[in-house]
Amino acid sequence: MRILHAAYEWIDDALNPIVVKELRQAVQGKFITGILILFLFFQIGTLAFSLIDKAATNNFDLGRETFVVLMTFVLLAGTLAVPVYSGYRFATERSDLDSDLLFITTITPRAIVRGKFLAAFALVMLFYCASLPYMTITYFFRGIDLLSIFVLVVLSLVGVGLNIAICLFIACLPLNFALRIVVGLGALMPLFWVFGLSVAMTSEFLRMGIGARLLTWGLWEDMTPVLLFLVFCLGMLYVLSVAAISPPATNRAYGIRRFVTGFWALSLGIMLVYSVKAANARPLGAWIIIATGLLCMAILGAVSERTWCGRRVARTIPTNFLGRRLAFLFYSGSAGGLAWAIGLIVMTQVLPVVLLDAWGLGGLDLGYSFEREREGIVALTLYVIGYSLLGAWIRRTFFPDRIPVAFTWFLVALVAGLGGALPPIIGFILFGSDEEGWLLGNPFLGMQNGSWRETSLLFAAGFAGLMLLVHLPWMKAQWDRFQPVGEGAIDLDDVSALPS
Amino acid sequence: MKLEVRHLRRLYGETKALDDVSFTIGSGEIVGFVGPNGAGKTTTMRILSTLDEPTSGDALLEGVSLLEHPERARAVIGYVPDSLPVHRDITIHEYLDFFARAYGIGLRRRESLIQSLEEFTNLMGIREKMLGELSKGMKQRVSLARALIHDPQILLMDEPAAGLDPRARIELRELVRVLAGRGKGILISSHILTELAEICDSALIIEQGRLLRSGTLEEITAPERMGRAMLVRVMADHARLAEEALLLPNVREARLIGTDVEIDLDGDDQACAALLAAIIGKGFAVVEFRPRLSNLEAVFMNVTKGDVQ
Repeated sequence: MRILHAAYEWIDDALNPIVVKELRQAVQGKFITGILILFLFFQIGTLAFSLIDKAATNNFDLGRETFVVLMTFVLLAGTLAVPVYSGYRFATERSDLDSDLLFITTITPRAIVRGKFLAAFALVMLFYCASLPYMTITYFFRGIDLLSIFVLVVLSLVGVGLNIAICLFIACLPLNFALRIVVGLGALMPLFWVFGLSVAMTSEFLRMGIGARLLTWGLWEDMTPVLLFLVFCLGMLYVLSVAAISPPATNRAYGIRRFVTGFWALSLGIMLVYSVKAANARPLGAWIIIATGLLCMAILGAVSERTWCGRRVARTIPTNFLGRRLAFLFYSGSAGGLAWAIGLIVMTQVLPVVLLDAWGLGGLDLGYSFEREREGIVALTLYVIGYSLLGAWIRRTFFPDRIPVAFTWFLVALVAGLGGALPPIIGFILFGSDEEGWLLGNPFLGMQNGSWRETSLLFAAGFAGLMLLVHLPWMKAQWDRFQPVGEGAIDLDDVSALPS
Repeated sequence: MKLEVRHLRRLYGETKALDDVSFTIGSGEIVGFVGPNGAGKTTTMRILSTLDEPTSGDALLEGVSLLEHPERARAVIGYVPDSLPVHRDITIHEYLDFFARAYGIGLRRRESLIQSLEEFTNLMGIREKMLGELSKGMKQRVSLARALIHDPQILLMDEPAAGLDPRARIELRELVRVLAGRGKGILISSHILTELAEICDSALIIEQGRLLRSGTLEEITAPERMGRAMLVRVMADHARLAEEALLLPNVREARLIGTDVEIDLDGDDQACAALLAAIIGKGFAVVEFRPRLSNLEAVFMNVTKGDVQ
């Protein structure tokens, strides 16, 4: 008895407080109970309809068809109802005051997001548990095997997790109520997309007989990149959510950059193994294009970060040679973020090719259109670097107090839009010219096929190079100021010494 | 435990939310924090509760920097905001249980701790009530219980009496006194200055991020007491006293306020005694002769301009 009590005590203490609170609220609220009753009603109704349908006696796919309908109900609850409910609750709770009260406890932002996610997942599991007996019964209807049922149930949880993560991320965004509604409505699109894909996946996997193909390489060869991408989305949404609810004074960028770098290395490794095993480097080629595109967004994020990491973060800067350099790249701070993103982009472009060469596989085909697409994405990246630095320079020089640094990305988008649209208009009005040369400010010009690709690549390289040169003294100053407390020359109490 | 705030500055762009604010809160001391809206009270409290970071300056808890060790500060600082957050479908007991868990208080201690706090804040009888059903006064008691859950040594209370009815205000005042009696240092902001004056040992007056005056209530009101004002009540002829008082030595001004005559005079206690003797000497039957104390409200009105940034 004493052991049982000790075990109970240990489990109770180990439970995430958010999970306990959320589940208590869900049990006492009317929404989940109502949805669950409705859900069971539909489940029983579907089974009853299948059983009394006279045509069912000759239908050898009845089990499969009934399972798909039941699964659709489960997915409706798991990928739409519960995630939206959890996100809505979190968003309404997440007034500044409420999250503040949590932050003066010992609970971490990570534990908060994890708790919210686990609580939502536990509610989904409630629906799954209620549904599993009915789904298992479909085995006796013919046309489906038990292994397929359980594999599909498990695989569908990926979509559930993704939609919960999307809803929680939106709830975490520091937006006012109206903007949150707008973003929330926009998020319905990916939510329905995941729901639709999950239903389609269920149907397709049943058709191809996933139970029989479960242990074949062919299945996992197709599934691995998709699963990898989904895991990336889940992880990214998690670290972004944590950063969004962390107090501004904390090291918000650290978790994001650590995750992206870790996942970048992991996915590169997997894609390399994949390419070597298949003697075909096309997956690696696709990885280079996708990773470069995603890292472009990190540049926009970096210029929208505060210039100085802040006093609280500065106190944690390592004093050793390597530690400080790594911390500069990974800690919150605009210059470090830029160096990190640009460095990772360069490595994305160079490292896979070097590694393939090192393994004597340099001749592997990176894909039919790889070189063409690589040129396009490199041009786009150079434009992003150029416009991001230009936007950051404009904000620092002309609007240091009027535009918050967190909105630099918006200014960058505006400048890029003007850079793309104004020159051709000016060219046409003033010179009556409609030559393509006026389009060189368009960041997407390099993505198009045609004779202008090389010119736009050269222009973008010059533009990015010039902006980098302009920013070099600024970046050097940020590096000089990135000092552990007590080590650097900067007087932390001297406000005039702090960069804007 | 002593909280020492040193030269806090907080800039938002060019706006100085706090400008060189320094003060100290000692064990068992109740410090009133007074200032117009937007003066920097909440910013100060947010910094002290580790929710925000100053541009410069620091706060030390027994010599330990709150900026360097925010986690240590969280263990000894409790924060009562001006309103309770929205939490639906949760009872008072569950709410307190949630925060006890969030502070990492284990099962063994948690139950008895919550029970004692519910008794202290008089929530025991309504512990199973939903938070959404509570009145403002009850919510404030829940908020106080929540802030006390980890037994903080310093309590920051941001407008805790705002919107409370008289009974709830009196109850809150008593609770604050009891807590100070238990050795907790309390920083309490309020717009109800008469109430603050009743419970506070010292006060801070802040405007536009700058501390205009600080110290014990006696010290704060001292400058206003340099020129004295006496209130005199006589059996009859109040109006005549108001007129004749002007002819007495050291008297600057005399006016009739209801049945009292308020006399402003220059000088010390000797001048007061001479004034009383002179009034009696003129044949007035004096019922009451008392100084008009300069209160926190008067000081506040004198030192603040009502400007916002």
